Amino acid sequence: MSATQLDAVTSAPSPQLRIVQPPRWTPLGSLTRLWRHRALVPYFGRRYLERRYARTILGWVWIPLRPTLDVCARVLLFGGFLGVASGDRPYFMFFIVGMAAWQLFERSAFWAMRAIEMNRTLLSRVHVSRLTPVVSAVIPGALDFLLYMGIAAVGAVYYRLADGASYIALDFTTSSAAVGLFLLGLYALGFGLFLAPLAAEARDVRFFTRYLFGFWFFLTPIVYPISTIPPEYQKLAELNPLTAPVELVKYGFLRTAPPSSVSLTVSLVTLVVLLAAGLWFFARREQASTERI
Amino acid sequence: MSQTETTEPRVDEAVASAQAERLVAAPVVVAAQGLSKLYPRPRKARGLVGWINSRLTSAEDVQDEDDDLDDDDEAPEDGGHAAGWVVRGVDLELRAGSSTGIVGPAGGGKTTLAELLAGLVPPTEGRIALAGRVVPVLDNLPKLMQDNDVKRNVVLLARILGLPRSWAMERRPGIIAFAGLTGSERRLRKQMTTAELQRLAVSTMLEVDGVAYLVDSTIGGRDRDFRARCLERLEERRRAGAAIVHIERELEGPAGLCDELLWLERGQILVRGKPDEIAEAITQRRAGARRTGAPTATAKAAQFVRFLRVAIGDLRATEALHAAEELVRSAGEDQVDWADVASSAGYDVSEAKRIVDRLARTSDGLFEEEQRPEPTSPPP
Repeated sequence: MSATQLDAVTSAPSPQLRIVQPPRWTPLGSLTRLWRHRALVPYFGRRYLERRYARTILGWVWIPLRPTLDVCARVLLFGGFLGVASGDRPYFMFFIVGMAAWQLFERSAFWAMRAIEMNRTLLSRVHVSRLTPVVSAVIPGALDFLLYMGIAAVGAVYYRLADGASYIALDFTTSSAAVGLFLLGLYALGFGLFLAPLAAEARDVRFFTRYLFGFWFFLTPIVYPISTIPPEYQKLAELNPLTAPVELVKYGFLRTAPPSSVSLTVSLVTLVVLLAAGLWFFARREQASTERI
Repeated sequence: MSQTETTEPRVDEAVASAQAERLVAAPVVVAAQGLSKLYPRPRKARGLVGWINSRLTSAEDVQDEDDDLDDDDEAPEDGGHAAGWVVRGVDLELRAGSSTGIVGPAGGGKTTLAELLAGLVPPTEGRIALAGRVVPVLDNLPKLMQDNDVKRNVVLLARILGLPRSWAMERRPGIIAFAGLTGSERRLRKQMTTAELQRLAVSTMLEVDGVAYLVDSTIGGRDRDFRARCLERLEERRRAGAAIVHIERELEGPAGLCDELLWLERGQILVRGKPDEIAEAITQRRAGARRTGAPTATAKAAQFVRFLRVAIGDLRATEALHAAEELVRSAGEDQVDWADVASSAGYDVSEAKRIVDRLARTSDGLFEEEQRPEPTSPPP
């Protein structure tokens, strides 16, 4: 067939005319494909949630049960046994808000890391953007955040009735929490862009990441206020790129001190670099994983 | 009586001629140019990492004991694709209201070509112009139905095709009824047989309005009633202006009744034309191969790889077969460096040379075994 025949189709006045060409394995190409397949985001998001409680007897009951048990154990350990200071608010309220923010990041990053590997059956048969399942990983992360905040709401009601004090503030300043959560979601995606293609090839990545995030959790001011750190280490803690988003969330809900400008700048710059490098890396690896997974 | 006998062929010819003219005048709805698909050879770790990997169990076979990590593992897919050019430089056009057959041996690239046209896999080279949606009615559709139950899988397939959820919700009762699954809406995927999943997938696809339908030969499976309904629905679609493409291994079946046939072998269209012309060309081709008695490049490569497999008991030999085929094709049948073949199949060069030397010493006349006796009649 000559090119003329192809042109005959392209010149036909059809609103549905589409030209299929070899994909561009560039960051822009990846984003374009993600937009084209955005309708599959809810499917992948639900899949993560369903798979999480597969083969359990209690099933969906684990969704509220897991965070509840987690919070109880940690609050008892850090707030009770170790007596970690939390300013003029109960340790439970202090901890759970920071933990909710951390869960958004950690759970999203975890599912993003597993996105390609978990969906290999579908992805190897349909040319769906590999970014779609990675982006969908924010859904289980967001659900975990909401669950922890639900427990926080229950705690707030309890303290309101018991102490007469309201420890969760909801006003215009709370919007800073939304900014913090948005940044944490982007951080999770940034890591997912690196981890998803690698984890599809080697489980070592999962093992490594598990310990990395476990360590990072204690580096980030979640179980302790940043003010309790010795001054010489406070500057160092501010260089942790996750400090500013977590502090923003705590500032929004608990009215703790807002993050310093240095901490915020470090976080934003790191995020931009992480996302740019991640997209570049993902686009390069997407071609290989498309053919091989 | 004799008058009737003489007029009947004229009527048929007239009908055929009119149909041909109508088809030529019909708009082209799908046009592909230089369409190619390459599955690259996976890179293998060398050195220390390669040595460790070769001695460890495959990561996919290990069940993680961590409850947070193990519950999502899927079994590795069966084999995947062979490395190499699966489709190479295919040009084709599909006209509105036409029926085309893509016929060829197994592994010839038929399904991959269909997947390329349907947009399920991206091309490596070439381009396709589509005047609308190309609907895949293929064997492997149940693999796409990864959602939990019947109803959700209809939505998932619709979304994969880029259709809105509202479309799936609206058409779902009709789709489920057409598949004969009324009353099974709440059944889980794992509770359904492959045949039921296949029927559901095919029913969904046939409900989609497309400019072309790519139909696998096994549509409907062994359910004759369902198969008949599918073919009837496809005929309705064709009359309404859609192009139908039947994908078959042999000339029998619906493909033999198509307006045009394409014979696809090793990813390339070898012959195209009317079904009877194709049948004749293929018969001649096969007869020619039998008369010459010379093994084809593929046969040579397969023979070589069988030796390779026996010689070293290596499972990589399947992969080597494809590498060998590719090299034989590119180098010409008489100018093949078998050490190069083995090397390109992922064997260490020195190891490959050693294998080839050993084969040369122990198996004189490597390729003579499969040659058939010379025919008595001269070649055409």
